[in-house]
Amino acid sequence: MEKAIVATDLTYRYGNLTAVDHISFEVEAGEILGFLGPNGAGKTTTFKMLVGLLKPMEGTATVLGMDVTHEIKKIQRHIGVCFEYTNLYEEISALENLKLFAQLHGVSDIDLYGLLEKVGLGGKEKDRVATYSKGMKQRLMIARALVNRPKVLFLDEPTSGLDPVSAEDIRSIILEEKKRGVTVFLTTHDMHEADKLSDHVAFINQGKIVALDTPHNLKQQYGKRKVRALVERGDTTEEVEIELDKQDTPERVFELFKNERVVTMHTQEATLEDIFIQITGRGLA
Amino acid sequence: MSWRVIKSLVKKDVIQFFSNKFYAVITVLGLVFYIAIYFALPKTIDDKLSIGFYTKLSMARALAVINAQEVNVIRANSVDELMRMVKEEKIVAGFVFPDVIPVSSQGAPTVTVKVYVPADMEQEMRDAMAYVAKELLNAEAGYFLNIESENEVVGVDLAGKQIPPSKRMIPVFIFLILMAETLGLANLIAQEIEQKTIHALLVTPATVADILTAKGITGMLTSFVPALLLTWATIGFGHFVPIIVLLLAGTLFTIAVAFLVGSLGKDLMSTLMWGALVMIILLLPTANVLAPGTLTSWVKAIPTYYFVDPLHRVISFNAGLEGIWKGIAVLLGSALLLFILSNAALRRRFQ
Repeated sequence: MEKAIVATDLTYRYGNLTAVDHISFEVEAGEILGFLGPNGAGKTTTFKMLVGLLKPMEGTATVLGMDVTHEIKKIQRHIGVCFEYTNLYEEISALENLKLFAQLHGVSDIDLYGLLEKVGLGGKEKDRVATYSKGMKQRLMIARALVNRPKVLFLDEPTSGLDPVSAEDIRSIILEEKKRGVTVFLTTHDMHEADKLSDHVAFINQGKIVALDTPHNLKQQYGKRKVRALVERGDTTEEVEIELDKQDTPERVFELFKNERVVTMHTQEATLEDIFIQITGRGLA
Repeated sequence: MSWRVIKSLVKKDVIQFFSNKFYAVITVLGLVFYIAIYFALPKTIDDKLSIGFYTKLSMARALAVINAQEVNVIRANSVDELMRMVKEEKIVAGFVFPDVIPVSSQGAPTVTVKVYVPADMEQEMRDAMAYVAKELLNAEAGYFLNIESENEVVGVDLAGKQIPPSKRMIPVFIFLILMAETLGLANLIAQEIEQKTIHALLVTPATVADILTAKGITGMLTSFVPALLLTWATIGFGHFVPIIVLLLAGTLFTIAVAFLVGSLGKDLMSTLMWGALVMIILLLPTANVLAPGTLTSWVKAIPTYYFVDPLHRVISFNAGLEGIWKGIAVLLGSALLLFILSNAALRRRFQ
């Protein structure tokens, strides 16, 4: 399969602080890589190096086979970028914002009304962006990233701070783009988002990639299967957890049903956050 | 009203004010800056007046009298040298005395003294210089002569002609228009950085050079066009070429200033404050147009002198390109220097 993004020993320092420390990874064309890590782990610095806002201090990276240090302007014709922070021209309308960026990319045949409709901003095309809510602005940022029909989408925390409905809508748009064959580099500290969307997940901690695999494999490798039961004890209910892969599991389950009044029982899978904590000893917050 | 509450609030406000590093720096910097300007400005007229003269007379008696005063006297070797010294502002005035003083027989003999003065010397000062010349010659003769003085201006006479205030104000108005647009452009640049829209632009095929060029063209449109319209509306289409060239050079200079201020500013307020600091300096040469001779030669160290002064010469004294090209060259050179500085600063801030 063709590689859309290849990073080799990518490094960036802010003074004495090594924000990204010799990281290497690859993203296949058409897949979503979730770049998962807590704040300050090096996600945004990696993102900025890949989109051309920072020059790598060591190592190399290619996007669509082109070097980010020497061919960034060629790369930028084929990528869409959505930042964590809102950076729209707020004094003009959504339509004018998109028109500007379409022109910068030399795209003239795109249906901007259709694009705004797709991100849920139909009917609000001519409103000043300053009057938009945070969710609407984020949708517009996504639309802006799509204005040149990119082959690779770079999304930095695209659902951060959004209400659940807006966040879900944006996730749907990301999956729609993936169906279209777009490669997505998604930085997030939201484990559920990474789990839902990503084909592969890279855990980054203190500038280093500490794990990189599919969410399923990570859970297989690091996760513990268990059942969680809610039992009634007098006037209260309590939770009881039993690991599934232990020698005494059958006896413990049998004892539970024999001695307790079980209200509900569910199998539990390890979350990416559990695994992250297991690997790094720290949470994602 | 409770003084306790007010005191607490004032304390909080002062801490809050100075917790913003920018306002703390600008307050201290402003203080230092204005004090520095105050001490850099001449306190009175120059401490020691320099005058020159040319004559074959020894002038020993006159020099003995004048050396007791706070005056530098320079003897020129020719009238041409004397005129050159006036033009180059080495002396405030140059006197050409007769080579022979007529002997007094019946009444005071009549002699003529020529007084060379610089173009921007006020009439009162010219009269004073003529008086000094007469006194020197009387001192040298040892008796009163009937002296006639002839004032001659070296260069285009900026003070001799009566210029209506409306015409005198035009270069100032044009300059103010350019300065106002400078602030607008600087704010546009600062906004791009503050709102991080610059990042959105830099991840498209647009380069830093494209962005700066676009800003420069915007500056051209917002500064040059209004300035040109103002010129045409007030003085008509005369002096077409020098006016166009001057306005273009002035606009380029103000765009370079805008880039520099924009690279310093973080938001509207800080842009305005940096802009005000720069503008106070750049505005000083306009005083020389409104009241020629009020500022001494240090004002020529300010690049905008080379915009307002040539503009004034073109509008009020019909100067052509040949008379103002040196000023335009200085203006363009200063603009280039500022462009280099601001370009480096902006590239750094865009990252």
